[in-house]
Amino acid sequence: MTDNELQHLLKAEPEKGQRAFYDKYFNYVYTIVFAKLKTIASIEDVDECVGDVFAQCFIFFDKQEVIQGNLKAFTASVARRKAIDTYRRVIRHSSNIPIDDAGEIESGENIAQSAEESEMRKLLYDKVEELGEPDSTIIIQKYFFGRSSKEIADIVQLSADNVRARCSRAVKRLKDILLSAGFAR
Amino acid sequence: MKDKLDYLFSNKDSDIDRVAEKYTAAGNKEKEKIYEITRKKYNILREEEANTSEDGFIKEAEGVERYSRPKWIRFVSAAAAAVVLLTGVCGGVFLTRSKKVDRIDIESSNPAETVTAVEVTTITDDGEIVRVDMDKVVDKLTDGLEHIHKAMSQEGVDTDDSLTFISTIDANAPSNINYYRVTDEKLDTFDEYEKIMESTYSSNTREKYMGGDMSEHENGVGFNDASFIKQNLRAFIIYNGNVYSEASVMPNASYSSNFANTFNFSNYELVSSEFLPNDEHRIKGLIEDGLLDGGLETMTCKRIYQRKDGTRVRAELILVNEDNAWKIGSYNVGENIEDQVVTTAAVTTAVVTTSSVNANNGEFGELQLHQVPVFANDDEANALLDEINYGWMNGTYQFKKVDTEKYTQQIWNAASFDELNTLENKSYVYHVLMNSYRYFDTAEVSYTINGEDPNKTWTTNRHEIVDNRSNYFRVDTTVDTGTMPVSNSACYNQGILTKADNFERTFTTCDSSNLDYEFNYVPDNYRTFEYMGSDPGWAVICFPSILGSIEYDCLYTYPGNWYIFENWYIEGVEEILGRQCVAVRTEENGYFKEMLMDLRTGIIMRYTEDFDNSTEVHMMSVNSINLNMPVEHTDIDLTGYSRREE
Repeated sequence: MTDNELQHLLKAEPEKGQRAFYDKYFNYVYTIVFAKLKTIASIEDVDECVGDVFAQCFIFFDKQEVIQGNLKAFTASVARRKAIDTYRRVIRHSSNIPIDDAGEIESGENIAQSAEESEMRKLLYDKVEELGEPDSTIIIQKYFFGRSSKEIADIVQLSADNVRARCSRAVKRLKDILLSAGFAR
Repeated sequence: MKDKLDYLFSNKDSDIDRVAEKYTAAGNKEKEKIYEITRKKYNILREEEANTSEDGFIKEAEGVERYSRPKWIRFVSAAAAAVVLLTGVCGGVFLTRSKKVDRIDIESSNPAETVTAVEVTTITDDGEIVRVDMDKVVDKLTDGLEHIHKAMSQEGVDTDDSLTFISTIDANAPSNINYYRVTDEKLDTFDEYEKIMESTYSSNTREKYMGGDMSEHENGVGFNDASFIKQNLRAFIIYNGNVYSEASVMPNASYSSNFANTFNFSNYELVSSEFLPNDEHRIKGLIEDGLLDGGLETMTCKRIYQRKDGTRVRAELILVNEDNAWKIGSYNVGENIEDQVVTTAAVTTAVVTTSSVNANNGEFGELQLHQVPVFANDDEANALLDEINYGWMNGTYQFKKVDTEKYTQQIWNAASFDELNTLENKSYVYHVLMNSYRYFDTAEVSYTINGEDPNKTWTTNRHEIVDNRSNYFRVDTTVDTGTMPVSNSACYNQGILTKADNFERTFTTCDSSNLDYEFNYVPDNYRTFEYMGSDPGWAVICFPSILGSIEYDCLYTYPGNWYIFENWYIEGVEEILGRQCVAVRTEENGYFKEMLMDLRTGIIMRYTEDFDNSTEVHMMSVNSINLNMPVEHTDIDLTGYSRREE
């Protein structure tokens, strides 16, 4: 469904449109929220925050006579703001903040290093894709989302043992691929 | 050891897009569970919307119980909002606060003007090829910038002609948004204002400053529609044909980083003007943040000016070519840090970890009244962060104890809630809490924390011996949970942090000799700041690392989110173990904490913390304390212990 069709459906049949919007952007919203909160919040906080994002979007759509504009950019913006709200709420309940979470603003001294890392990450994601499914999903679930083998098993419809075995082999293959691609780290 | 892959899979926006596009984020079960959560939240929001009338005011809500905070919070919140307002607009101005810059004698320095001339070729819409002298362009842009900032300062407004609108988004804590009429001759009519904004700022930057025509609304009216406020009540508004600017300063107050000291370019001497290679990383960041449009030509210009008092001012401009006209896409103006490096060798003698930290030479430091820097974008925030890091690493910021006796007596003798909760008193409490390390030399303390949740209770006992002037910290902890007892020790001595598990008889060590925020002073108002632009960023907190990793309940309680002054208040005073203490309290959404802090040292003598409506409660109480007596530096006896691999 295109954004145009979705925008039309949201006004013509709001509940159906909301569900379609949710299905289309769930992955995107969840990933944004998870990435922002993964070091500090619980899965329950993430779930609540994703729920806040969609509820906020639905209310916004209700208020518009005509829904226009870039839905993806709008959704990302709401997701980031809600993630920040949740982050602040969570740190307020925690007297100690993990050192890695000191903030996203980095000192200018790290710019060269960031550029290098950015290139490495691009290469990494390229190579993860080359693994093919379900291995690339297993790797992303393990390293990006930090999920356990059991949780990944639910997503890729394999047993947890099978996920563990595939993950181990996939990591080895990935490291080989990266090394042969000149990835020195 | 953490896998290197963990490190590489980051949360950068580009990674998020890629992962979201190609991979399932969560299983179906979780997805459906979240959909249910969404529907519930949506229904609640709809109900709230239904109870809000079209003009943005809350209708009488029947059958809906509204959370109502005590009346005194209303006062505190409004005061805190006013403080934030002071720093809200002029991000660039704030960059220079507390800076120590050597004064150069203008008579003897004779600065040579060095201008790197740059011409660019532009093809107009008519196909004509024209050459543009970029330095003349920058002259014009800085002139516009000067007038815009003048119109946001006391010099460019009539403070007797003011408007106030009220944000009632938080009905319990309305906040005023004040405006003064602009009198600067280049901006005092709508046409002039529009012209100067359009010729100076890029469209995205302009968007941040230009608010709406508020003529239809009565002076003093309240709004509770956040979107309306965001769209209309910006730095400049129009009212009955006049231009008004948001009051970013208090009338008749004196600020060191004022317009005259930062943006008053026409009164300064131009020392140099050069065009630098674009910092692509920075420009990419500005594009990602929506502050610049992608695909447009950009240039970076750096100018150094010299004020009549000899202080140099730096202006860094990122220029963007919009429809064949160069505009300012982003800028950063402040007293020049690089000059400080060159001319202030004496400043770099860092005052670190020695008794001289607390040597006042008979004088007291000035208490910094609390403000949280808030920036319109991360570019400006980054500039301040760089400056703070520079100052922190080089020991630029000098610490002097404030007059503890004066403030102790002032708080101890306060007769009312309002008298207790002045900005000065709260700033003092925050200051001492944040800098307790500097307000006592040695301590030997024992305390107990009783914890309980619905399933269990436990008791933590700690004995601590610290010597702040020698950076020796020893913490011995036992925890009685009724099942598995815990005993561990941590000791930081001579730059090495050792942690031992006394039951497993294992230990770890790490070299932590790097300077930390505890050891090199950073002014209170620089410890936390936020940026709020189109893509709001995290609060950045220069929190303790060494001390925070071994002790945060008693001697070195880093106040974390207490930087938001509206979130806490002073309840009263009480004497504990002969120490005069102040009781401070915060509560929000089921979380509650009350602390009793020794007024002279910032040491916490007692606290109660409830994490979530009594589901987990911690109660801490100091049993004994000895201050400023000689203490022995004893390392953990690791005989029979083995090193634990991490």
